[in-house]
Amino acid sequence: MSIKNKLAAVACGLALVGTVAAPVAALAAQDESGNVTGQTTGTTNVTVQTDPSGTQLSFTVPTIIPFYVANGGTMITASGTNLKIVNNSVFPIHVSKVKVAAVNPFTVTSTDTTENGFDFTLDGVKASDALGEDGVDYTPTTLGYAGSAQASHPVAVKNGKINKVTEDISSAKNAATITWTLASGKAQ
Amino acid sequence: MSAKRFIASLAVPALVAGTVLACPGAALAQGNTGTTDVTVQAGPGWGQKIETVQVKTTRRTPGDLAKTGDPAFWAPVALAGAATASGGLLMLKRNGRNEDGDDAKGEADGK
Repeated sequence: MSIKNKLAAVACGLALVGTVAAPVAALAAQDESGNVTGQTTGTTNVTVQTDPSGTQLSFTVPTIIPFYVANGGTMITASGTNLKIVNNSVFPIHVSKVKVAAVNPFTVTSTDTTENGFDFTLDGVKASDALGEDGVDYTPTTLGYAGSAQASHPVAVKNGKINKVTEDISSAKNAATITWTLASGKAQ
Repeated sequence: MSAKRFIASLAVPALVAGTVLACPGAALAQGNTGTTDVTVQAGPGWGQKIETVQVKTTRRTPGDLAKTGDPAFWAPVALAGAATASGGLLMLKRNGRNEDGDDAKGEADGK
């Protein structure tokens, strides 16, 4: 390619770049008198919302609820101040569901005729009512954002009763598993 | 292939494999669920035999007679008896002295 042609190609390229880089003139409408009319500003709304999928929650639940059985079958455990659900998220959350699953040979049941059968309540929700696949709705419990006075919720574990114990419980035995489901926002 | 290239061809896969093995896996988030284990254990007094024992009582109901050999009842009675006896003896002794004194006086007056 001759030098002239090369220079012409470079000039065309620069012109193209300049065209693209040049800001678009904001053409304003004008009336008959030449006054500028029409909008010269625009607005944009900014919204904030928790992740609908709820995958950004951060919280802790009690690792273990230890029951101690008295002679009559009454089960007692630590006070609620030691069994807490704590919100570590920057927004309020609530417990939406609770599900209980028994661990063999124990059974979670409200009847007193089943061997190694026991029941208890969590904030008034009976464990024997939460055995379904989806669990049950939990008592409305809202936890405030992390660090707030309401970020921690003590769980009231009461009414523990076990019947016809045939299992050796001289040492702690795993009897059930609780699955807590939480969601963002306040409890309804 | 030179020796350097051969070594490099071996080192790269080794480094990659080592990186994959050595790096800790990401802690998978629990999502929106948490789990708690429930345990059951015998509490204090569990399994101890409860035995009912008749307890002897020293409290008597009206009409009950104290049994022989019951020191709780007889001790105060014995003490009261001893005190009464002592008092009686003392009185007798004093009366005896007074009578002797009267007799002596009577004899003196009679002379």
